[in-house]
Amino acid sequence: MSIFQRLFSVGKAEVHSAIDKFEDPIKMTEQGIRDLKNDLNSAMTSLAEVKGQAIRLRKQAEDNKKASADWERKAMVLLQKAQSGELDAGEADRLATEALSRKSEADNRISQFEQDAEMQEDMAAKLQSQVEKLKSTIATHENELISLRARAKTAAATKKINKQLAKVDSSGTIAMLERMKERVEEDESLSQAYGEIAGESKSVDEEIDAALSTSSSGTDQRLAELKAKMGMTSKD
Amino acid sequence: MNWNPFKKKKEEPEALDPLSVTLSDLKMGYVLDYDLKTWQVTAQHYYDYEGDRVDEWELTCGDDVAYLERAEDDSISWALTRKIHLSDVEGDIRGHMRDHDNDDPPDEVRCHGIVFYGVSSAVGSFYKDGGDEGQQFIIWNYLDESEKHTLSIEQWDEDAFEAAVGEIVEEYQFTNILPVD
Repeated sequence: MSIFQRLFSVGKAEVHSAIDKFEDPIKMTEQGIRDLKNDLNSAMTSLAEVKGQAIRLRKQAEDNKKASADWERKAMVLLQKAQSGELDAGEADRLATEALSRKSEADNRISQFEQDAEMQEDMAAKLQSQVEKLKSTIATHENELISLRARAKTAAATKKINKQLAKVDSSGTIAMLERMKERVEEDESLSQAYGEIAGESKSVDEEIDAALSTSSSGTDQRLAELKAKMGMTSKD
Repeated sequence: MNWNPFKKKKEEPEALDPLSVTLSDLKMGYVLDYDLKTWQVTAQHYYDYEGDRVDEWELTCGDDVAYLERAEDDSISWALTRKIHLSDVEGDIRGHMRDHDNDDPPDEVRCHGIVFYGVSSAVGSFYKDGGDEGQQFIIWNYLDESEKHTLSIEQWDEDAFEAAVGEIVEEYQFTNILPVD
């Protein structure tokens, strides 16, 4: 991979990353649903048109069926009139033939309209399945949007709490207290150490004097002297 | 200069949500399913009964033409009717009306083997295609014992009568409503 290609790839990745930051998943989903609904609207309109056309074609076929029956009835009446002598037989035949020709035209139109109606109905069935599919897709996405909104709300609340907690820790109060505690412990250890050192630093002479000294004899003598002065006799 | 930056932007009509189209939204050309058949709205009118509006949509399916009516009181009620000849109503309705001072049809009539009982009458105005000019008429409404089947007799002119039979329907019976632009 050439250097330029690599640079381009890096640039592209950076741009994508920047765009990703701008993307709000909820807004994007809402827009997606709006787009799908527009598609659905178009599909439903097309379906309505196709179904409407099929209805019109079926009606035209029905109208022509009535017309066909009407022409046949007219041809029969003409022949009956000829039979009863009310109408010239030749004229009756001519008119009846004309009526039957009109009936045949109507019959041709019937089959054409029915064929076209069937075609429109087939198309409508295909469109209907597309519409149903789109409806179900939209319903799924709308349900997902509801849970997405709830999840985003929870995530935002959690983020806020975590941020707050992080802020409290970094303010240094806890750290300062910990430091203070450590320092007190250090001082205590130090004083204990000094104490131990002080306890161990007696000279041999001092130890001998301490062992020989009668620390309480002076005090006892002064007590005896006081008692004598007061005329009290010592119990000893 | 025509340009005015402070001019309020013309509000665009709110787009119809295809997933929430209801029977009340029906317009000309809309397609819907009822009773296993697909119908198309081929006309839209309304009636005014002294301030109470009743909407009516003409539904066509091939040769079959029906009229869907929507009335709103405490709740919305729907009826689907089909026109019949006055002669389909048994008895001499015209004669009865002529012979009686109040010009009303009988309180009890029979049609297609069902006995109907008179429930109300009103003077109304009919607005064809939702137009501005109404056409006055008198209507007598009947219901059968189950209160599911309806019959109406309308008088449009001195000797111009129309009649219709139908049934009370529910909105859920109409499905797959497809709008058109």
